[in-house]
Amino acid sequence: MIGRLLPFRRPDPSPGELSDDALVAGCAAGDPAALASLFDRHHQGVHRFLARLSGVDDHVVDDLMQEVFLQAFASARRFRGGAPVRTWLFGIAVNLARRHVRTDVRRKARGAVFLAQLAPSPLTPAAKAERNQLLGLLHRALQELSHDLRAAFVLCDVEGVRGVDAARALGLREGTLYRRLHEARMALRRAVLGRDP
Amino acid sequence: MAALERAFPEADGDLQAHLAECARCKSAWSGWEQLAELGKALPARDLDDGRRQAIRDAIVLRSSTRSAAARGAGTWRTATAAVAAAAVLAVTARLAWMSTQPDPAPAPRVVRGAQVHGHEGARFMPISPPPDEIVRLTEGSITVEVQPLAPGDRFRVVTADAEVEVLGTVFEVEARNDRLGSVYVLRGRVEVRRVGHAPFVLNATERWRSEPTTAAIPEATAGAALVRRPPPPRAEAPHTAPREPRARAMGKDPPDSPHRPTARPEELRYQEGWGALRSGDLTRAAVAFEEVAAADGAGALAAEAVYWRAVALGRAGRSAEAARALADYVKRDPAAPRADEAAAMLGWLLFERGDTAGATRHFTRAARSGVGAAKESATRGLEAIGHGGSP
Repeated sequence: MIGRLLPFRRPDPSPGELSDDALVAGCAAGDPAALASLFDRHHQGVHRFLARLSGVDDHVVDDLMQEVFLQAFASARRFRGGAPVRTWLFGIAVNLARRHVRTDVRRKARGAVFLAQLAPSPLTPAAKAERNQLLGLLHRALQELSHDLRAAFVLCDVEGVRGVDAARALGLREGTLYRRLHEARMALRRAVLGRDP
Repeated sequence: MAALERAFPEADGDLQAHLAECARCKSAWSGWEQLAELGKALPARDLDDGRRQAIRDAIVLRSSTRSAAARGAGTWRTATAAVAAAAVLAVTARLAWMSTQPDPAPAPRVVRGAQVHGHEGARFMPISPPPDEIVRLTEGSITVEVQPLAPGDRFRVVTADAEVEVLGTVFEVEARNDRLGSVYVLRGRVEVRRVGHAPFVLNATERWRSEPTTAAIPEATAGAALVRRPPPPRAEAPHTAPREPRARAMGKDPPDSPHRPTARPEELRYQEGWGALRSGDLTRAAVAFEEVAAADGAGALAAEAVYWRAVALGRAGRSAEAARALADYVKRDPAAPRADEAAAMLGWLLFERGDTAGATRHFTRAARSGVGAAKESATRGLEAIGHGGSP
């Protein structure tokens, strides 16, 4: 009959914890607690992915992330389980970001803000400046890409999602994804590195 | 180059062999790897804890609403995938509970072998299923009665700065601003520990309460902070807040708040929010109103604060947050004085976001309003939807 108040800690991940698939199943059964656990596990990855994909204001990224998890909750019954849950969430994020970008006109003002956000780097000042310049070029070049090409690049090359999983998450044939990824790489290379392959 | 056109990061051995022999492809691949490396270095803001928690609360609240609606419509269906896991979690779903709004007659919620009673204004939710059950408490107080647990089972109540682990007792925990505010033990004993402070023991009928500001936990024996007294009365008379005259037009500047010589802290904060809203400092206004809403619980002032916070957020272009605040306002009291105006505004926000179904629902409600501005605005909204208009 004793309760103890301990320093705050979250339960450590362990094999005994529910899998991502089980949490999605819980969402499908309408369990908000399962959604909360899913959020705890994946919100950082989804947030980072959206930030890189959409190039919009921070608060829009936050809103989109919220919508990603709500849509995941709503569509959990349709999750087929063939791809990692993280990739499935990325697929939802791609679709939501596409919808947002179509109606959002604030994209235009993003470049100037971006350069001020660059994280500190251990590089020398000159190398840091060059790297920042390349990052700025890449960011702008990414935003010039169509949403579909940008999604392919961020999903596959930045997030490192397997091609087969990325194609499934985006609802594409693998060949279509290959083509988009190739086009994105070519365009970005021209814009950032200033040369064709 | 054909090989590269189908190249993914997880390139196979054949591709690597080709790259070793083909200088052109190797150069191209190297460039793409450089791009990918740069892409990984693209800055992405980290979520601070407060923002993360706010988003988490919002999705849980909205998902809970959706679940309730689905159950009410008889559309409950079980998952076809991962049936075994779903079965386990379905039990959790049945037992799951959440409280973000004051319940006029709150009934104890049963979480497996425990009864959790959320007092007025309490915000809490389960975040982990058995055998390691965790209840997350962010605001207000709950009373927990836990039956003796099976070996290996755990039941915990957590705030941002502390954790109460239960082995079988009856106690009450209160959080303020996501920090442990007080612990009152009705039966049994509780050992209290907080980060950076020495532990101490509370026996039955003992209460520990944090200081209003620094919330210092007494060292070791903690005798100075312990008082023996019965629990305070739970029912608190609703505060009758100074209600502002109604704004008759959507988004019209709110009127000045009346001067009250003996204003409570939240009333003063409310007035600060007004000042910020009038001066165009929308972020500060939103923060002030949010604090008032949290401090006043179910009071009328809190309802007003929720509404004007939504207005501030909407004017600041934070439409998603504004929509949530408006939904919160309408939900907490559908008959609230500004509910029709809120419904109309919410309709437009949802319409702008492409949620025509949600917009139609709120416009339809507001179109029946006796408030002219709300009715007119909602009618225009319904016309826009009917004409297939786009934001």
